[in-house]
Formats: sequence, structure tokens, C-alpha cells
Amino acid sequence: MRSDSYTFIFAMAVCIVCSVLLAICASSLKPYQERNMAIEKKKNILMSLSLCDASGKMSSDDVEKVYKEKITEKVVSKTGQEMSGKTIVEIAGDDQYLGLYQRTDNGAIAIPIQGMGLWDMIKGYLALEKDGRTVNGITFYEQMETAGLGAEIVKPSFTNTFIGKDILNSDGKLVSITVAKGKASDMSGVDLKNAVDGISGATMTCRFVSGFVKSGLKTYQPVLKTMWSQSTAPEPAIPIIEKPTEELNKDIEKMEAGNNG
Amino acid sequence: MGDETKERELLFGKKQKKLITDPLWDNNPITLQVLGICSALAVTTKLIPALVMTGALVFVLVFSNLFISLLRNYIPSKIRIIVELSIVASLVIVTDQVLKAFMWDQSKLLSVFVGLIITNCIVLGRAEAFALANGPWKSILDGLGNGLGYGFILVVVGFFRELFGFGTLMDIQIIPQAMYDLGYKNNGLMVLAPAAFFLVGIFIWVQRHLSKKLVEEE
Repeated sequence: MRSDSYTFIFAMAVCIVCSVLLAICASSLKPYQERNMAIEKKKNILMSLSLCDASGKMSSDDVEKVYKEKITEKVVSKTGQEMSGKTIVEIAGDDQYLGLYQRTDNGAIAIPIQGMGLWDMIKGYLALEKDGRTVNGITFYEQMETAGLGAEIVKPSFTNTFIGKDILNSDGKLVSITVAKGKASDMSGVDLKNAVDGISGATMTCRFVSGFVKSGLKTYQPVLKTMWSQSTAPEPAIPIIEKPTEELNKDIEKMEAGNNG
Repeated sequence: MGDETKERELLFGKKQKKLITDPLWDNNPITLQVLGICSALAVTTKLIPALVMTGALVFVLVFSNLFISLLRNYIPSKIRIIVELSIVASLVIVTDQVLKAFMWDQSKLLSVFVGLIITNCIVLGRAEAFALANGPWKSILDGLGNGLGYGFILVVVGFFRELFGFGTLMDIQIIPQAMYDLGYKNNGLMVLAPAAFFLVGIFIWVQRHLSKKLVEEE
């Protein structure tokens, strides 16, 4: 039988050796992990803006390339004023500014959303089409929800249900997207275009997601307002004609014929 | 010359070879000791995660056996299990960190199951049953054998689940499109955990049919 002090010293030694080794390992691998994380974020931005397949199969080089070509990072002030000369990295942690990612070709934007989940922070992106109200996609790149239940929020089977939903109600008020408890159609007082079905067994996670999606949208409301006003502006009186007039006339004839038939 | 052969026999004698081959078939950790079932059900939907998981477990098992065997005469018996667990846990965290740094997509797929190697009964089981009573070299071989025995089942189960569940192997399409055009469909059950359970069961049956000595007497 060994003495108590031996046991104590041995335990201390094991703790110290293990923790030193782990600290060395963690700090030497950090740069690689951070790079992976950065790529993962960009990939999620691309996914929410439908530039990357929902299965997420895309090499990291491709992610960098597509991101560089198709995404413009923008910084706006809290009141919606566009700030040039600032980058998203610079404004991290400063709540006076908001960062957003715009798809250069079609004007859709992705905004970061995050909030506390059941066990830890959930972070992701919500993308809206050019009109600033129709959901283009949603992704979550960081979550520690219960595997098989809450963690299902990352699956396309859940995230795809957001696509095409409207964050405004019929009066044009920001109501966000509510994740129902059970079926969205069973919920009273909420329009189907503003809600998605919940995940059974993950009621809490779904409630948290509804919560932080709404608060994220509220924060970005000044930016979105500009987009709403632009999209509801009257269409230009003369439509932009790309086709030669003759062809256009033919099209019109065809359409009329179709109507008559 | 004579000394050399003796040395080699010590390193790779019959007994030593048996340490590796036994857990592959006659004393397989999954099908005979029924350990490590949880992760075997969870990570075998496809071959690649099954292989990565095998690699992770072999690494943890070999080194935990080695360190515990080296320390076996110094570990105070009162805190034996806790010391073993600290060693295993440290190794698992290292594995997880390395996967996150260099095999990001795989580590995302395996999610919690790499971390759960800590609770894999094979690891602590081998530490308690073997490494505490044997020298470092034998313990390494034992760890390797058991890790590979575990991996063998994972690969077999992963093979069938991926082939019938997705029509692919190592993410390469195996079942031709023509079959799908004729109305063939991937088996959805194969993707779910119960399929692994059935496959492990069938494996146990086949194994006992082939090696009658494994069948318990009534």
C-alpha cells in the first residue's frame, strides 16, 4: 500500500503532464483549425446564397474562389448607412456597425444570425433575396445541440423548409419566420408563409432558433427597410427591352393566342 | 547471431502474433466481447468515416495501452481508473484536435463519436484487462489487435451499409445508373442505425457458423 502523499503527488503529476501536452497540441493546431473554420463560414455564406450545393461538397480552394468572385462584403452603420472603407473584420465586436454579405450578381444578401441554443451558441447565416423579405436560404455552421434531435437543424431537410418563406406579414410588418412546435399549419394566428414546421423532440432548440432569427432580423431592419422600399418602388414605365421588337411582337402574339386557347 | 533470433522471437513470436490475430476473429471485441457497439452503429453509414474512426481508435488504444503499461507499476491502485481515464481522455482530445485541423469534413461527420472514444468500453477494458498486467510491447500489440478487430467489423458493416444504402463505396458510385432506371432503389433502412444492428447480428451468426469452437455449450 502506497502512502497518501505518493498518491496525491502522482495524481498531480498526471494532471500536469496531460494538461501541458494538451495545451501544446491545441495551440500548435489552432492555425489549421481556424483556417478550416474560416472556410466553413464562407461555405455557409455560399450555401445560404445558393452558390454551393446543400450537401456542402466543395473543396476549400473552390470555396475561396467562388467567394472572391461572387460575394461583396459590406459594412453598414446601425441606421442603415453604407460605410465604405471599413471591412467586416475591423468591425467585429463593434455593435455600431453591421456586416453583411451580398451576392454580386443578383443582389441577395446573407446576414449573420446567432443566439444561445439549448447547450451552447448556435451561429449561422440567413440569406434574403434582393427584395429583402423572401428567404433565400439559412445555414448553421456552429452548434452543440443534442445529436439526432436539436442537431437536425443543420440538415437540409430542415433548412430547405425556410426557402421562399416571407419575413414580412401581409401588412408588411416584420414578423420573422417562426419555427412551429409540430406542424406550422396547426399554429393559430401565424400565416403559413411566415412559419416552418418544427423538429419533433427538439422543441427547445426550435424555440431558440425562432428567437434569434427574429432578433437578428430586427437588428438588420434598417438595412432591410432600404431593400423593401427599393423593391416596392413602381416599375419603370418603359420596360427594358432586350429582345428585338419583332421577336417581342411574336411573343405577344403567342401569349394572346395562348390566352384565347 | 543466436542472440538476434532470440530477440526477434521475443518481438514477433507466436504468442505476440496471437495478440494481434486473436482479436480479429476468435476474440473480436465487437462480435464476441460485445464492446464498442454504440460507435459501431453510429459511424458505419459509409466506409470513409468507418475507416477514419478505426484509425482514431487504433491510435488511442495503442498509446493508452502503451502508457498505462509503462506506468503500471507506479499507478496507485486507489486512483487507478482515474489515471487511466486521464490518459485515454488526453489521447482522445489530441485525436479530435488533429482531425479538426487536417480532416475537417470527416471530423464534422464523426461529430461527437470521436470524443466518445473515451467511453468506448474496448479502451478501458483493454487497459484494465491487459495493459495493467503486461509489458509495453505486448500491450502495444494487444491494442493494435483489438483496434483492428474493431475496425474489421466497422469496415464490413460500413461496406454493406454504404453499398445498399447509397449505392456507393468510398463515395464512388458502384451501382450503375441503369439499375436505378430499371427501378432499383437504395435501401433507406441501411442508412439508419438499426441496419448496423442487424448486420452485426448476422455477422455474429456467420462467424459462429464458420468457427464452431466459438459456440457456447448449452
